[in-house]
Amino acid sequence: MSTLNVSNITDGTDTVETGYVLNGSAKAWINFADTSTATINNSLNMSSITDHASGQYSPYFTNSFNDHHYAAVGNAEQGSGDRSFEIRTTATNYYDMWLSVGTAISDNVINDASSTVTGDLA
Amino acid sequence: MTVKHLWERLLEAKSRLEPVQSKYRVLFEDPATPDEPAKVLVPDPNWMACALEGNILPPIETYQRDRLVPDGEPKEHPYAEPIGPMTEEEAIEYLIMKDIDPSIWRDYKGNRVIMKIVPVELIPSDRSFRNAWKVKQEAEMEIAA
Repeated sequence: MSTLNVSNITDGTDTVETGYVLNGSAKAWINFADTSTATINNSLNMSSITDHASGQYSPYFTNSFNDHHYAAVGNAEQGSGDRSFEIRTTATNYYDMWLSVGTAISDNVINDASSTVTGDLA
Repeated sequence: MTVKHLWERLLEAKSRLEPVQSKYRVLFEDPATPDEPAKVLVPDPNWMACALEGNILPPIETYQRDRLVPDGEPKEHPYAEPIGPMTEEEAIEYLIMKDIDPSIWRDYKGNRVIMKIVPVELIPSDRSFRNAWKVKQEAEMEIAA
């Protein structure tokens, strides 16, 4: 594998420092379903996900973040609608994501969920 | 020889290795919160491919030492010399030591069975009563929770 070592990237009109691109890239992401038993469909920089209870999950990073001040977001297709995840706790090696529901849900099935994290890696 | 950063190794491995869905799950309870339902740890398939391949993941001891490193301080595991290939069973043990609190797999001294490594088929497929799952205490072979 070769390395392209540049300090700036341009499209001919606008120029941006390479650091902005690197810092803005997702450092970890996960896509999973929990229709019967939880299954991870695809991911980057994740070692596992823990299913705590109905709608409560904790993805764990393979390469930790430098501190717990990173940005994590998530959403899911659950039941008859789309829901967002509340990010309850962030630690350098994992975060807690709870399904946010406005009204009571009738089942505990997650058809398709995803989450992405940007921040500074350790 | 300089060791590549762990994230770079993961990126390179993801472009090259086929994901491996594990046939195991780890079912466990937290003795500090006995009223909570049993939890299920699901191994990541890209991570499992790295574990089976070898020369990508750092030694588990580096993660255990890094648990004690304060936020913002340099961590050891991204720069540690990677370990060789593991079997799937060794990878599950590695994952337990990495992603489950030591109070569950190392320090617990009670009589109740609070952790089991089970085939994925023994995890209940009906999630209607998910919040009532507990680790089965008997050596039940049909269902684990």
